[in-house]
Amino acid sequence: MASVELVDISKHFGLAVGVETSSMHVADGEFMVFLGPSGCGKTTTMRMIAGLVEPTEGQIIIDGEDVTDAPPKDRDIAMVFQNYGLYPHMTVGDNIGYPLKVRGLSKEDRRSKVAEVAGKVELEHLLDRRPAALSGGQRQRVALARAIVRRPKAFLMDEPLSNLDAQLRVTMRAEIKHLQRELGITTIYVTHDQIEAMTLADRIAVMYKGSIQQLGTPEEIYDTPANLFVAGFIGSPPMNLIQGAVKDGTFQAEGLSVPLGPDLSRDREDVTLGIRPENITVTQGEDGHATGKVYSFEMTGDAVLATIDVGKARICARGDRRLRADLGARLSFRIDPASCHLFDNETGSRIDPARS
Amino acid sequence: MTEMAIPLAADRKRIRRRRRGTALKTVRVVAILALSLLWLAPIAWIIATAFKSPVDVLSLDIFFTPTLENFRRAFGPNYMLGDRLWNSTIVTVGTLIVAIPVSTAAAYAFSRFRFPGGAIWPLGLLATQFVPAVMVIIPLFILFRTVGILDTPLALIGVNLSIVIPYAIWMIKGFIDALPLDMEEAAMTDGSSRFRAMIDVVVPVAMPGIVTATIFCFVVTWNEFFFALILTQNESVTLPVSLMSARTDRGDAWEIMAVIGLTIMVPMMLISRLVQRHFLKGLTTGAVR
Repeated sequence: MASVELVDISKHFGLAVGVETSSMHVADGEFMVFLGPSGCGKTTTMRMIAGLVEPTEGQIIIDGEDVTDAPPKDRDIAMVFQNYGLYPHMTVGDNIGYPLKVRGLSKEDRRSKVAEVAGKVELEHLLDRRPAALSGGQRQRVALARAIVRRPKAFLMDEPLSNLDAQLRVTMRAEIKHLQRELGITTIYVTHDQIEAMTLADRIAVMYKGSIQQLGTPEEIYDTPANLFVAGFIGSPPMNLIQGAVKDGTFQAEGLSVPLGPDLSRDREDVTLGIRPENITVTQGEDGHATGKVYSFEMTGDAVLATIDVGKARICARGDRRLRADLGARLSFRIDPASCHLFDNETGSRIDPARS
Repeated sequence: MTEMAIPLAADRKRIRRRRRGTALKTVRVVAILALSLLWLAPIAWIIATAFKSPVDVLSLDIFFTPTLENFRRAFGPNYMLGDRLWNSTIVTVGTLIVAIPVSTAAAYAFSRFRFPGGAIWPLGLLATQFVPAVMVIIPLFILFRTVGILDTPLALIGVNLSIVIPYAIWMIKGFIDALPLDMEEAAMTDGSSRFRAMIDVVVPVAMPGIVTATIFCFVVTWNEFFFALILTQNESVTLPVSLMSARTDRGDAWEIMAVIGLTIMVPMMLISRLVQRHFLKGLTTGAVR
């Protein structure tokens, strides 16, 4: 177990910027998730920590030791790859035992440790099979078992669940979380799936275009997104973002007028209002903050998602599961002023009520 | 009536299609047999000649009394086939022992590392093979004579290495290029050095490619004639060159040539058969999703 620290790290591929200069501290035993869309630099950052990619600048410190120039084998980390990275010519048992073999453990020691770990991930009965004879979920378990068979200083997981079907992903997610808590090993996990990030992480680093947009706990990131990118990326369905202006303590956009709380009430031109679908209440009659035409209506099981066209904006509201409305029908809704977020259109940054 | 006519027409069409299928199948089988005959007949002829007495050699009789006398003569003091076979074995094994590890390492480097100049290096390596052999044979002859290795297996091993290594690198590189990087990166994060990851993971998985390259190098070296003809005189003469020894003052000893030909062919056939299974399937299945 160890802390992982990135100090002013960056990676350039020729003229292209892979990861912009950034720093981060992952505490001992923490579960850190790098979250972002494809090409945002999350995997490159992880590969720099693993030693598979050399940083252009900066330092990588694992357990207080500068490992920036150390090869992967000397970093004492274990990595789980998106495509598993199993050794196809070895049996499952040999795959799991390989890190121990490299470290010179005797055959007996290896066998007992492999058996112990295989039990943890329910692979005991498959130890003599080759990876080709396993299902996707079983292969991912082998990769996981290979990572935990020794106690590394840190786990690095690069989208380990992205090749699994939705149901298996949920099960494996719980297993990963359980294992991490049980072993208490510092874990850095890369994903583009925000549900994975929210459910697994102690802290999330939201990345976009090579730089960290926000670093915080899942609650912080969900409740107080730092900028328009984070606001639009986190949440399913994502936060509604409506362009307009604040005048006389009210946010005004075409067809929409929402009174804001006193802390956001200063007059401003060119801002974006952010409101999550669950903070919008569909009302009976036309007594809401706005009325629009129903564009789509989706039943998700536990709720109903109504997408309503208001002026130029298309607003998604999460309503009661019994709510029904025809496409094209007029529907009115209220917005909870206390749950509104304001963003500066020019910089994209959050307008912090405390400093407004 | 109309109702009856429709199925009849369909039946006729089906029968016509089936007949056409059968005819095509027959043509295909005949073509395969004819081509096989074209390839196999000379080999069968060589095998038969090797077991014929000199009197029977020029007759076209299919039935004859087989004899091993030709083999006894070929391995005797006049033709020294045993020595030639030994020389060929030394040269081929020596070439393979050096060529395959060197080519595998070079193929890995070309596949995984970036060099200034990019693809120029592997292409340049291949370009060395575009120089005609006749252009390099005289400088090589003078060089080997000067350093005192003319007419030794060492000279032939050196020359054969320069021929087979570029091709072997390209063949193995093709296989390594197709291997997912994840496997060796996993090995490295598991605690292996890059070299160990190559030995433990890349080489076993690229084995079909390495075996293919080995067979290719074996065939080229085993059959190499031109350089062996010029660079050997007596001590290190190899099997292909020894074929010339069957052309005597008293005419061509076809039965001896057939024995030598058979001695050249049999190891190639055996080795190809033994390692054929490696061509059939790759080993990467299961490595990645």
